[in-house]
Amino acid sequence: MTTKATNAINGLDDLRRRVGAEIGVSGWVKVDQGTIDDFARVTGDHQWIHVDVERCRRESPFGGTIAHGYLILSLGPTLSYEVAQLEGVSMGINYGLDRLRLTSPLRAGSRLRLRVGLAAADDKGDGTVLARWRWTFETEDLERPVAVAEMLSKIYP
Amino acid sequence: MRFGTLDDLVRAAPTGLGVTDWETISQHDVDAFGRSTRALEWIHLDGRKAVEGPFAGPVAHGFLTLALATHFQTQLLELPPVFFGVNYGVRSARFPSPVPVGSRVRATGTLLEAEPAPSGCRILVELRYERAGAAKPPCVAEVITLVVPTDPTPEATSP
Repeated sequence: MTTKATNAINGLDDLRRRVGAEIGVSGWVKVDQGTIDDFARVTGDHQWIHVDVERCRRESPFGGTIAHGYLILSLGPTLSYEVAQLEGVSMGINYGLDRLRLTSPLRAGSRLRLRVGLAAADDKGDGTVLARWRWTFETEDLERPVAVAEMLSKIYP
Repeated sequence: MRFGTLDDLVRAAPTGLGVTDWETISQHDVDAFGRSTRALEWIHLDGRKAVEGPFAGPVAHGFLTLALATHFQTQLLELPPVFFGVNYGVRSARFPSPVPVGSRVRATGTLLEAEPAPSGCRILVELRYERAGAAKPPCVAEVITLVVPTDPTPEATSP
């Protein structure tokens, strides 16, 4: 992680005020082959397009090994804490996500960052708030995003 | 379930795909996942502190549970020869209950949709996870996979 949180969101009122706004963008993180190999071991996804460097050099339509889509997604929470931390609440939990699209392959060795916006903050009626974050994963050498998702977190006041 | 041809796959939807084997999610798995994704929160990694936390012990990352989807789908759905699957995205995923470290999980799969797409097809698979001993599923996900040829011919790749 290269930068500290650029933003603090101070409580639920501040969160609600930021609906529709961009919150910020993280620093860059490098996704190397070692990280991809570790991720393959723990998730059981050893598909050759991720881990077989030699075969990818010869056969891959992407010109080399690429990161698992779920690895890109899983880097999101830590990158998002770097963008903004929600203060003045007791906790937020990963509630789920909608509309994850892996729009471009991320080649091993590339750098990745996360742009965060806030699409909605809805009161659930039980005191909790469901925040719908707009996540856009970007890489240096590509204009269009690598992945987009609507990330849902349930926030306890 | 095994599909010999692309047409078999497209014609079969919607259909049940059965249930996977159980997978145990160990502290070692959770630690390795935390290292590779830089998600090192105490609620996942620090057993001593997590005992005092909301789940009375360390729990797996939600995205670790979700990321098992690829492994589970491979068990449940054998693609036609000369095709392979590329993860295109997730229509929705929810984590209704936690996965305490040491739990066993498995998933029941349903092929919801299979639509022809350029040079292959696009499939939508629901994976409903189950945790041994728990009533609520730890994860319900609808995963989109592009099924593409391993060795694309010029005809197959032209627009």
